[in-house]
Amino acid sequence: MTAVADPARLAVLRELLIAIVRDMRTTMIRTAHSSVITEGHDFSCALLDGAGELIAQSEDSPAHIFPLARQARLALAHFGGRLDPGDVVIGNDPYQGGTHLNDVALIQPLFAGGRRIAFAVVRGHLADVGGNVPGSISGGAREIYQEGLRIPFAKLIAAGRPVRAIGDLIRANVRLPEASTGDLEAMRACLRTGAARLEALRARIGTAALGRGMADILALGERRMRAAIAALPAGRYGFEDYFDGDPHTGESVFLRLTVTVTGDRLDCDFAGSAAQVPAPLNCGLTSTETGVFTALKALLDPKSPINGGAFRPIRVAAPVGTIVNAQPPAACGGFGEMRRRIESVTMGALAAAAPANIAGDTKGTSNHVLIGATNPAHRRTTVFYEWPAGGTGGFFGGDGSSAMRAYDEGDFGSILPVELVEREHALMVERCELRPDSGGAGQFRGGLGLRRDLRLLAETGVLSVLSDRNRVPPFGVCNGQSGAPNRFRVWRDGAFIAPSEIPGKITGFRLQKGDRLIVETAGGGGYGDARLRAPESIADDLRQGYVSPQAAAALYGPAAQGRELRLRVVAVDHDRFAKGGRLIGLAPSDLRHLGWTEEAPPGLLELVNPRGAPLRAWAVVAHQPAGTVSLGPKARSFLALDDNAVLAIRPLSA
Amino acid sequence: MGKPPIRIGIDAGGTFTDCVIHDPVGGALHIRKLPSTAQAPERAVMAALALADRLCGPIGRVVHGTTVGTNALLEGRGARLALLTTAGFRDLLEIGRTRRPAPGLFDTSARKPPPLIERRHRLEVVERLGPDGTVWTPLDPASLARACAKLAQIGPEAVVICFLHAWANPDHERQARAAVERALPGVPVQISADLLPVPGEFERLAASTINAYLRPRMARYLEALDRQLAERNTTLQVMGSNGGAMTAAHAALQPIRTILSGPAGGIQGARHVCRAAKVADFITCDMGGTSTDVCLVQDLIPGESAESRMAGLPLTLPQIDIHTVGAGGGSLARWEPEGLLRVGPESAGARPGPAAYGLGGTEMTLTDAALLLGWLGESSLAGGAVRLDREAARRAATDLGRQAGIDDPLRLAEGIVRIAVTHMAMAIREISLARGHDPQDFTLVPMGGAGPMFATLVAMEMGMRRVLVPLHPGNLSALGLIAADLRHDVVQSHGGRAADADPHGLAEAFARMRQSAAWRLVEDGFPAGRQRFHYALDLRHAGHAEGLTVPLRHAGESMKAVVRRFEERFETRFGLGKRGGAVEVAALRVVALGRVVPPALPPWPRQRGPVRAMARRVLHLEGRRIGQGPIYDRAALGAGARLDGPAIIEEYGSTTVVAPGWRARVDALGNLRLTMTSDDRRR
Repeated sequence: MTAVADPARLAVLRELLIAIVRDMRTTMIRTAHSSVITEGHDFSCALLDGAGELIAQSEDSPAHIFPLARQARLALAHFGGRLDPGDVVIGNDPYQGGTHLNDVALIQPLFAGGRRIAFAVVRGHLADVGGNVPGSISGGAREIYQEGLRIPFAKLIAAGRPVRAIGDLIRANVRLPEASTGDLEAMRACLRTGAARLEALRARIGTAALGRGMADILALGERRMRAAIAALPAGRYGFEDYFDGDPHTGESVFLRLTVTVTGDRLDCDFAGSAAQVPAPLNCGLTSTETGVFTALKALLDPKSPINGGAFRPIRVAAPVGTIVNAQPPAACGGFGEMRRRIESVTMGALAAAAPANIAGDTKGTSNHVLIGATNPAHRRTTVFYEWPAGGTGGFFGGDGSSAMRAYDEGDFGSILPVELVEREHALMVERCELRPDSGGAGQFRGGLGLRRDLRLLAETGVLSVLSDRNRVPPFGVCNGQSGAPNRFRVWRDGAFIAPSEIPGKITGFRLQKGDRLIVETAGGGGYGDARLRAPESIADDLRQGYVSPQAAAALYGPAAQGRELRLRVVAVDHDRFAKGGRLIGLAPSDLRHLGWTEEAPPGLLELVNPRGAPLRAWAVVAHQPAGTVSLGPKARSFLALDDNAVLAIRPLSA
Repeated sequence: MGKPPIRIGIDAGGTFTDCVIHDPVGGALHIRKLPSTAQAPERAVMAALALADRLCGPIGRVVHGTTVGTNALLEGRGARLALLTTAGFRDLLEIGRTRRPAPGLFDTSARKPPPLIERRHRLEVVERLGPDGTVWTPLDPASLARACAKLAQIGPEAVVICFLHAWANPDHERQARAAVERALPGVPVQISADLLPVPGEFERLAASTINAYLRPRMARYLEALDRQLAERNTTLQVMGSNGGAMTAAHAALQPIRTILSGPAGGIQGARHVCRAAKVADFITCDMGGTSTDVCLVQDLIPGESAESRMAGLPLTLPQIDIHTVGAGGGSLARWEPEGLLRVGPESAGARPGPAAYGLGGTEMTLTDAALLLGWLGESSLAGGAVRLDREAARRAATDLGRQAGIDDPLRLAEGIVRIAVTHMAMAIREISLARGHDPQDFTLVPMGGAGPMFATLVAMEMGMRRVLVPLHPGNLSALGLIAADLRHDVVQSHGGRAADADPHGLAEAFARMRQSAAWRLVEDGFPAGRQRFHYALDLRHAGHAEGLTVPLRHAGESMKAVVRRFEERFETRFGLGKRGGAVEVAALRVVALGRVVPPALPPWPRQRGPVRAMARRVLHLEGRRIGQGPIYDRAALGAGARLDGPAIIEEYGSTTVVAPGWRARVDALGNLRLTMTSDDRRR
């Protein structure tokens, strides 16, 4: 360990700066209007240095870590490097450091003696920013224009004076102008708190000491991350995964990552990922960086405070025009889905290299559920909005937790109190319970998802859902099995109806009185071979009803091995892809063994990875010797398999 | 007319049970420290009573600060429970609000603690109420009977009943309770509407569950003690988390209200001392071995909060607002990977303890740092009963320093102290600046063995210029127990805009709440002449989830004035004015006090002759080396004595550091009053 000049003084300064951000958070939570902020805490605050590098954060949502700093730097560039005291810049453009349009950032430069010494920034989720549906977010958006008002950088306050036109423009384009105005005011109060507290600190320790301290904090953050990266075996790693549903083809949307570790540097390249799609499954490069960093942080150094120094050794590249570096007018509403899958592939790529903190995958989506309806009790039209949690992944030493916010999310609620929902909205919550059998099996089981039934009490309502991992489920790791995917169904007149063609992507579905929306969130992926699960843990799962007797027999009993197939790997020159997914050709007898026949055509399977995450692929019938599987160089490299190795294959769909 | 009765305060802690006995004849306060027995806390209580018996007078009031409930909750040693709940919601306790235990961000192995009621013991009953309490589905007798039959098989030690919207209409919960009581005679049954009749089903269920979890154990413990007291013709009271005493019977029924019993006693003790010393606004700083608790008291009223968590569950009952940080005498100093120094939250505790204790600890702690800096002498602890080993502390410092190439143990010790002081200052920040109070308007009142050592430094960090070190800073809790009033909190939910509220309706509601509280006070032995009532409204801006509790000047105060006060306070605290916007009334609150005349604090003998140091040693303070630092014996400093920092004042059980630039004066009651005389040393 290299010596730090004054380790105590710097530790003190770092803590003082984080305390300022905590105060900003308190102001925001207590003064905001919308439950998405007051209850859901869907916002983040930060202090940046004068150049726009992140200095201090608190318990904020990791979703905003990168964007906060990146957006401030872009805003500064936008105004030619010139911002004045008393300026507050507003922006929400996903292509310029934003996330999705609902997330609106306010950026305030702070000065001392005429020099810019810092930025206070805050980004909050506004309940509505216009667009096609109440709440703005919807699974059916095809272009960003349907997702609401896009605000390129503009001064909301110029040298202390509010720019009325900007405020008017926003109010004129959103459905809940009062709430949005209130939340923007809360964000300004939050910046005022940050500015006042930082000024008090500066006055006490002096401008020079503050500046030096901030530079040292960044240097130490960089040093810590570089040391963590240098501890990884150098080399190339890769992984791939999917999003549900390109609306043109109905097929999956492909995501690929290649990671190169060179000394204390880490490069991530998303070349090979799908071209942007006319669905809300695109994001700007900043959101891609966010996903990468969140997973790296969890894998390499989960405990330390975050600052921009830790970003310096990490480089993220993605080809322009792909889903992970989208260009106008790609819809970006599913940024929460994008960044989570980017986390999944980052963890999948590095699982074997950094095994200490890996865990089964999580629900992989925000699970936005929005219902607009008029409450007959007080004749007000309200927008119900929840983002229900799923199960977390099993990890070495413990089962995942049920219905809990995952490692990559802020610590806040995701469902509203029933007693509040039923007072405010024309909805009855008919049940809210754990979803048995949804946790991925494993030596350490994934946590259970939840089931929540909502009945509409108004004459009509409008339902929108933006979710993912409805088809390709959260993966287990180290031979652990998948959690159950997310599922959204409507029960009407004694039968289920599908509210959308592509599951989990619902826009403006007309609900009728008495309709019941059944939300089921994903279970977490399991960790380790299910056959190694302690018998007493299985017995307890059965006793408590976390696992049904049928599922226990299928997953942990002697029948468990029957569903799996062990095949010899034959090396071939090319990986096979079609229609948005990896293809695996298998002999008819092997397909039959997995439960697929001519009448029940083959579907999704996974190539089990005993030391990391499994690859998923679609099975096709092929001229392939029974008992073998042909794998191209990428698959062999991702799974670290030699020619002639034995690979276990597991079907994921019936 | 016999002898006036003796009053006793007994604060049972993990290591010691502190006892203060007030003998009305002559007004003496007898202070004793007795060893605690972890498995049988009642033993020390009995021993304390035996001490009082020797005074040969009738025993009047015995108030007990207990950790029985807190420990049972933290150690998972509560009752085996079963739950009856609305069909479709059996997993509410486990799902909660889906929050993750903190800190857990980026931690893939973060886990919820196991639920206090196993899933198989959570049973559903067919019934449903609407949000205003109207019956949507009547309580189905068949499903209730089935659940009761199942309960009989389970054989729980206590049963929780929580139905949706029961706060608005408790009928279904009461019917279910009657059925369960018939099915399981003698088993305590907790319905949610009784404990916390406010909306928010998870918070209500969590509170009901914690309460039921603690009820059997607390009832057994208190009944055993109460029998002992019955022999002495008196009854037991227990300190509640809200800073008021409650009868043992009440505490046995609602043990959740005793979770902060110990710390609440300490704050009451500080309040009693400060009232006598005419200090109305102060911040307490109670430092123990692993953590420091701080609390802000304004106009002698401690801050209150209804937001804390324990065992992963929210505790939503009125309690003293205590903020805790992981910095105590035993906090360990370690390096972060990037080379920054960290102090706590890991602690060496009492065993193995600081390296200097010589009990097997080898890692550097805050206490070791204080020893190296000369703040503690080798015989400073417990009057010399515990020897401190300076060489062991130096070895620990050298080992720690070597890891980062720092070869000066003193520099390291100064860094450790600076970080610990920052932690404490940050805790004070959270309850003052972050809530709209300026700490400079407050006096710092350190407590616990280690609190006074860091008080002047923490005060400087926060710009506070006054410190009051009470007499016996380690025994304040027991004193507070004697002085505390008995208290009942009554809360009633309300909905609707303040502007639309019918003044007569509100006045009537307050009158009803007062009536029921008065009834209970009389039962507790407080006739009308010894009752006092305070009224408050929970107000919030329309659209906000939370607001503030605003005390009323009297039950009939005009709503306009109250709303204006709310707006002012909100603006002060959160920096955002919203004057003139709609304000909603969320709840009505009544605090009912059974008044107790606190014991007078005896005068402290006057200083005779000049103030003399009992010893001198090398001190390191604020980056300065003081070759002949004076050490004073607190017991020998009489009222009126004055001395200037840098100096150390030692007493049995505590050490006070007087930083350079500070002056100490002993007041008429024996408290040390420290004031900053110059601030040129501020960093």
